[in-house]
Amino acid sequence: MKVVWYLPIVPRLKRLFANPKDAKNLRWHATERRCDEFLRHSADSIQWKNIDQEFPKFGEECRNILFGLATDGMNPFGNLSTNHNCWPVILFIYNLSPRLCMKRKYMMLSMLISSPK
Amino acid sequence: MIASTTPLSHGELIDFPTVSQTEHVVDSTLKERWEERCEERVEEDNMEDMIQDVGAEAFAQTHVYEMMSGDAETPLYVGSTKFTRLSVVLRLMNLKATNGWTDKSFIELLVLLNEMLPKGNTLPTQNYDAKKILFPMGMEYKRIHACPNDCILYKKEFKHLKKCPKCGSSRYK
Repeated sequence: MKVVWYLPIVPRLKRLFANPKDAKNLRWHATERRCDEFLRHSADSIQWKNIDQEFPKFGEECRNILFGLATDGMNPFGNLSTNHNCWPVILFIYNLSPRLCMKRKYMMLSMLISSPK
Repeated sequence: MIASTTPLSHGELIDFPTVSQTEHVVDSTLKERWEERCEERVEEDNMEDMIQDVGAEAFAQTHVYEMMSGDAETPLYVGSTKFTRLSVVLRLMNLKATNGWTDKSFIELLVLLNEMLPKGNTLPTQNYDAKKILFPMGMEYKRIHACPNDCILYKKEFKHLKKCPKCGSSRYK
């Protein structure tokens, strides 16, 4: 049977915002990012600005979070069991500074899809 | 992107016999990096920070917070300054998770430790009790059934269906 293990992200975001340090880090893209002609972070990109323009209400609030999503099939127990599929879906918080946004601590496993082959 | 940042063993479901020559090289560097990260993480594991993180969220349900800070202040046994009930359970659970101990072996270890420690210690002897202490830290999860052909998830309006409305395949095989 194919099953999606969904790990709700809203309570996790709440916990992040409950911590003053993390809350400050989550506003980094609006408050501490240097704005010049160089591309250093996803927030410098045209796509990011397009999103803010397309959804002005979303863009105005710097505490709104932009996620990156990555997924890939993997085999959690080496090569021993190949009769199952397992797909983790991982979210990255792009609001954070580049130093933090790929840190293990701030990556979120939001879904795990498991099924027999 | 994932492969470079997570230490998950990135085994695809297909075998690639050609990469086996370089595999051990990659493995050792990955292992080093993983160990580095573990050390880093131990430093980051600050008990007070953790309770603060949980506490703020759980203020609505004060009993959770009280229970937890209670466990954080209860010494493991009378006169122990280094360990509290919470910190010991946390450390042990961490070991259990990283090394893949079975529930059974974990309970046996808890019982043994309980015998080794002075009488009147507060170490739980059941996996369930240990989990209960950590419960406010953990995050809940939901299990959602899915159609084997990826048509739908059995939630909301499809919640009680027995087979997929699009492709007709059974929910339970």
